[in-house]
This record gives sequence, C-alpha cells and structure tokens, in this order.
Amino acid sequence: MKRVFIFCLVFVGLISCNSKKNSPLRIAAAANLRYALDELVDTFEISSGVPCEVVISSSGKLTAQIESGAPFDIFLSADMAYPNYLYEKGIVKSKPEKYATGALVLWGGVNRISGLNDLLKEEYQPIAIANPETAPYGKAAFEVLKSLNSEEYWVGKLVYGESISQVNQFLISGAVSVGFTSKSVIFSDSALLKSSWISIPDSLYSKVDQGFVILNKRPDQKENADIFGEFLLSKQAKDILRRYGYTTEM
Amino acid sequence: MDWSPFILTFKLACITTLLLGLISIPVAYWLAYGKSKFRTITEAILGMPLVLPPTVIGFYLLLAFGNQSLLGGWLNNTLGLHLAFSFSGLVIGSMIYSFPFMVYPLVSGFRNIPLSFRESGRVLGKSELNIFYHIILPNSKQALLTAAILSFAHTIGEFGVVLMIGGNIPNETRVASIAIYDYVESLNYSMANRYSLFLLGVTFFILLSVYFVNRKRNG
Repeated sequence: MKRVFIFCLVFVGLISCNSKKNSPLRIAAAANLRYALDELVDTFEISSGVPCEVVISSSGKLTAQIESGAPFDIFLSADMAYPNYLYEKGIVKSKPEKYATGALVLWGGVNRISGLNDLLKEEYQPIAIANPETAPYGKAAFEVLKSLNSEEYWVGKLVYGESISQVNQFLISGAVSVGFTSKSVIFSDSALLKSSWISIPDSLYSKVDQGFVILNKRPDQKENADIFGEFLLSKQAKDILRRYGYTTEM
Repeated sequence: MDWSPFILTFKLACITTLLLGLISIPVAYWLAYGKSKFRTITEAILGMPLVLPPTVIGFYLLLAFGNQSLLGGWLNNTLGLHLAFSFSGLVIGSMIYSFPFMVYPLVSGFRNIPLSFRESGRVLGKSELNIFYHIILPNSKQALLTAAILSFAHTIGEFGVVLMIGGNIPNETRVASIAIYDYVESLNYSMANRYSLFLLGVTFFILLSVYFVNRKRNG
C-alpha cells in the first residue's frame, strides 16, 4: 500500500512539471473561416515571426466564452453583431473592424439542382440551414428561403445545424440533399463539397459582414494581436480572403 | 500527427483519478460505515452526475467559474485562479463528473468486508485508523482498482463538460475527444479517424492489461 502511495506522489510530481513556454497568439475564429485561416495564419507567421494557435467554434459560442473570460487574444466573428455586442457591453475596449464579407451558397449534393426554385420541390426537402438565431449564415439562408415562400411554408421542411460546420456534415454524410453553407467551405479539402453548388444573388439576403475585435485579455499578447489585426486589413490578407470566396474592400 | 491532445488527456485522467481517489476514500468510508442520517441524501447528490447531461454540469461550472460570477470573480481577484478555460478547471470539472464512478465501487467494496474482520481488529485493540489502513484497504484492492479504472476511463471519454468549460485551447484544454470533434467539424475525416483509432487502441490495451493482471492475481 505504501509503495502505491509513494508511486502516486512521484507520478503526480512528474506530470505537474510543466514548463510554460512562450505562449502563442491565440486566435478565436468563426467556423466558416476555418479554411482561409490556415493560409492566413501560415502567411502571418512567416512574415511576422509570431507563433499562433487557432480555436474554432461558432461565433455565438465564442462570444459566450469571451464573456466568461476565455483567454483569447483576437476574435474573428462571422458577423458584426457579436463583436459589437462585446464592445457595447464594455468587455472589449477596441472597436470592432470589418475584414471581409462572406457569401452564401446553395449546395446540391448528388441531386444537382438547377435553381433556387427547385427548393420548393418536395424531393429536395428537408433543406439544411444553420440555426438562424445564432449563426449569421443561417440568418442569411432563412432570408433567401423567405423570398421564395412564406415563413409558414418552411415549417417542418428545414433541418438546423448549430453552425455552418454541422450543416456541412449533414451534406457530406448525405443526411440531407441540399443545404445552405458559406462559400468558403467549397475550398475545403473535401472533394464532395467542391462540386455541385450554386451561388445566390446577394440581393436575396443581407450582407454577411464579418468583423474582428482585439480582446486584450492577456496584456503580453496585445501587441501581437494588434499586428495580426493590421495584417487582416492588409492587401496580402485580402488577396487570400478573396481566393476563399470572400469579398473585401479595396 | 500532433500528440499533445493525447498527452493532455492522459495527464487529465491521471491527475483526476489520483485526486478523486484521495477525496473519495474518506467519503466512501463515511458512506459505508457512518451513522449519520445525511448519508442517503449525500449518496443521492453524489450520484447526480450519472443522470444529468454533461452539458448541464458544464454549463453550471462555466457560470460558476466565469469572471462574472461571485465564485469565479473571487477566485480570480483574490487567488489569481482562472478556472474557466484552464487545465485546473478541467481537473475540477472531471472530478465532479467522475465522482460517482469512484465513490460507488468503493462504498460497495467497503460494505462487502465481513464485520468480523473489523471486529477482530477492535478486539486486538487497534485504532479505527489502524483498522482502516491495515484491514479495510488491503481487503478492498479489487474495489480500489475498479474505482480507479472506471474514473480513469470515464475521464478519457469525457466530452460535454470539457467542451463547455475548456474552450478548445491547444496544449491547455484541447483533449483528445475535443480534438476529434474539431477534426470532424473541419471535415478532416481522415485525421478524426486516425485519432479515434489510436484512442480506441490505447484504451482497449489499458483495460485489457488491468483485467489481465486482476485475473492473474485472483488465480
């Protein structure tokens, strides 16, 4: 028995030895950015020499975590509303800035769809959208649907993902045949998502302006977060974002 | 392949199991032999993590640990402890989450020791602490092992609580289950598969070797 206790003590001692290295810049980003962000971060790390780590989730979840004090340094949202909310509540001091505008696409899987009106046919239902209450792309998708038919018509004909990521999984697994996702997703490694999508006229939904905000949760990372913020607004970053289907201001 | 989620997972499981063992042994002793009428209600409270969805536990822990709560704010301001989104927070969350898996096997193990064992210790004039250390514990090895394995395994398999209070931070709170979830979310199914298979293999091997040793010892 004694030996077991001694072993336990030594063991705990050993695994608690955890030398904290220079912690990297922590970027919290919305799910739709996942693919573009890989390249953005690689480019930024090379040009600035600042190591980064990325935490991806839905904008709403990240906002809730930031409110509870999550140690992130910069937050890249899928809309302007969440960063503005943090700013207005006084949780962040610096003003949110817009870095890109995202586009919505309709993904048609194997049943190639010819146009938006196909959505009214029963064979394509249910349609997957992200939760309009919390996901900016879900809100945009619901606006498109409402332009096709009344809100009541769609009751029971939609399935909701908690974010764009879950909608993508519904589509890839074949659980649903059509769904609204962000254009950036078709630049993922998944070959299936690369095919069979149609773009949606941007007159049908309000623009998905995406903003970032510097959090200053860890003062030693403030400077690096500022540099990353500047980088996001640089021509270099905008070129990358455009290649992933976003539009940016010149 | 990035090994840090696995190292973190096993570190979390080891620390949780050890700390939980230290707390649970006295609690289980009290539940098994105590006379207090609060034992029933305590047992019911301790069993609640079995029933409640992990997201509920995680949600309340997040509220409790967050900067805006009384407890979280106090810990933060006076002790400089950030429990939300930190490894120490995960340890506390896991301990609450795995509590019944440690306590229940111990309680039933202690209760199964024949009364005559303890009585003979008393007749020989041993103190209760002595009886516990030299008679009860050595005779509960089986229960101790089961309790430790169950808590260890349960902590490895933990997801909902960690997702809520951890925040998916690399090298801090991104444990294996979260890393797999993250790969699935990013549609990187091959990586998700590789991580899952590795976890499957390791856990199977741990359980197999423990039960093998156990069987051998029992003859």
